[in-house]
Amino acid sequence: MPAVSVSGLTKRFGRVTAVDGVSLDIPSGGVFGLLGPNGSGKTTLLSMLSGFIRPTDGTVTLLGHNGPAGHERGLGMVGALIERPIFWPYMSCRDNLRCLQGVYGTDGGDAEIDDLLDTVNLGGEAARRKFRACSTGMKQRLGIAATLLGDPSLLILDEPTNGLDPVGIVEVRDLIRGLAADGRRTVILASHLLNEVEQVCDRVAVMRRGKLLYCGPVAGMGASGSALVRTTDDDRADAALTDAGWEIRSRSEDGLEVAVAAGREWEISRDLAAAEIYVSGLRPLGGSLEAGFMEVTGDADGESE
Amino acid sequence: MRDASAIVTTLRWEWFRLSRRPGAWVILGLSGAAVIGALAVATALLHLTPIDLSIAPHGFPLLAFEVLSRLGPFLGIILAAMIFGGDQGWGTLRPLLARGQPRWQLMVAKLSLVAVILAALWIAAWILAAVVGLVAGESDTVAGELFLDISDGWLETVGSFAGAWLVSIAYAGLAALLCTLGRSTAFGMGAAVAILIIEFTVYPVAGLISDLFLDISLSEYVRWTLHGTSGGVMGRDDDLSAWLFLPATLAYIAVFCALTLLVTGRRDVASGNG
Repeated sequence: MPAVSVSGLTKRFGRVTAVDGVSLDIPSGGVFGLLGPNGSGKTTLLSMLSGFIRPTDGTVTLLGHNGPAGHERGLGMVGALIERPIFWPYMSCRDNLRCLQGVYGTDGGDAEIDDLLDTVNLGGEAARRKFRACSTGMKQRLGIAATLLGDPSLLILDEPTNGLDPVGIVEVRDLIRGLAADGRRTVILASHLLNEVEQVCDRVAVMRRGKLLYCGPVAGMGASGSALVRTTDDDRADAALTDAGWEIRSRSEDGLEVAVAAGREWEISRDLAAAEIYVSGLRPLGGSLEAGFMEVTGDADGESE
Repeated sequence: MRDASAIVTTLRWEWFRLSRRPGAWVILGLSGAAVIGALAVATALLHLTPIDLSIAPHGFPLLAFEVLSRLGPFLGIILAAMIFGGDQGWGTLRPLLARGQPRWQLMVAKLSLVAVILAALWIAAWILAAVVGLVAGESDTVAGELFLDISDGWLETVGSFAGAWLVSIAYAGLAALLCTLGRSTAFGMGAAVAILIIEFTVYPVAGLISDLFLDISLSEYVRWTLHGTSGGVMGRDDDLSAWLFLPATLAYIAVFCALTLLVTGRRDVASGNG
């Protein structure tokens, strides 16, 4: 059973269609990435999953529950951090968590609060600090802690590393990986950071202008990358690689740009060696996921948002 | 039964948050101080000044009522703005609803909290005034003294307090609706106070003008407005009994609450400005 299944999900704000007929199954367990440029509809989609925004059309099945009442039941097992951490500014971090724990009816008591504050490095004095006096990073950490109240089966995290310092980013990524490691919890991670998605996620969906453009393994996204190849004889190399089935995208004084999936550049070298052509340089062009993302979203063709 | 339990739990945590706001204690403290001040002045007039005056014991709750009935609408508006507007403005409705709690349960808990706090304040004020009355009031007329028997008895004072409580809830409902519509504490409180002040000033002035120059009595026309109904249910209408205004006051409360629930239930939950 998928953790989340959406069908024909659409949201219109007046004449603007923020999410346009998205159908998607997110499998249980693991980390699922949601990528897209600004304004692509990621946050609107996650807000509909979290029940904050009502869809104009389409259905959502959350942890096996569907329909309005079913969605509310499903949300009981979901922790969501959408857009930014939102708390009561006049209360301390600890009181904010205590209050939400009470409202959610989870029975972890003070031990759960202490554990969560320690997990996100907000123990000690930081826990007593008023939310309004917290740094952006502290607020983000508190937001993540709140999503973990009651040990939910599904986590929806919208750019959870926003505002964190490099050490904090690494910690949160490790935390997210750890949360999904045992396979009983699903994490949906929306991010602008392609390397973050590449490092943390198993599968990814790419959105642009409200439409779903790609959904599949992260590795599959980088399939249409390329590499710049310099050889001792570019004319013969061009012919040999074409004969071997490679796509030569361009040729310049710098060498040949050959279409190749990330991590498979060595196969070019192998085929050239077989044709007795020596490689003097081989450089992957762009990040693997980045190239795939640009191609999927159309930016590789110079199309603007 | 499960819904009632969820509402009580939510109400408890609404109070948890409100009790951590210094502003709430300041407002409640000022209201209490106004009542205590009125009772202290009355007691001082009776016993520490040469004025020949006595007040019946059940007159003291009526003195407290005169203070609270004027503060009550403002108090209801401010409390409702704090309880409803804060979550709208900061966007904290989102964490509250994140685990699928039905929106109507949250709204009912918030409205209940306003009603409970106002009831607690009104009851405390009545008990305090009654105790002061029993200690400092005088039941019998002393020859040569002005005797202020300003009510028919204890039961009437309870009725007056209940009426004032309902009026403050009606204004709280108005503020809750305006805070929800405007998604802001400032808008809700400002608009509700503006309506209150306009009612208090425009109707009497318009009534005077129509009486003097047009020979029309405006009281018939404003009797069933929120202002007129509020005065009526607190026994301030010269022609009709307070009981006749009870259904109208309850209807105002029901309309404001129903519209608040309707708007909250149908609208997307915004992430606020904070």
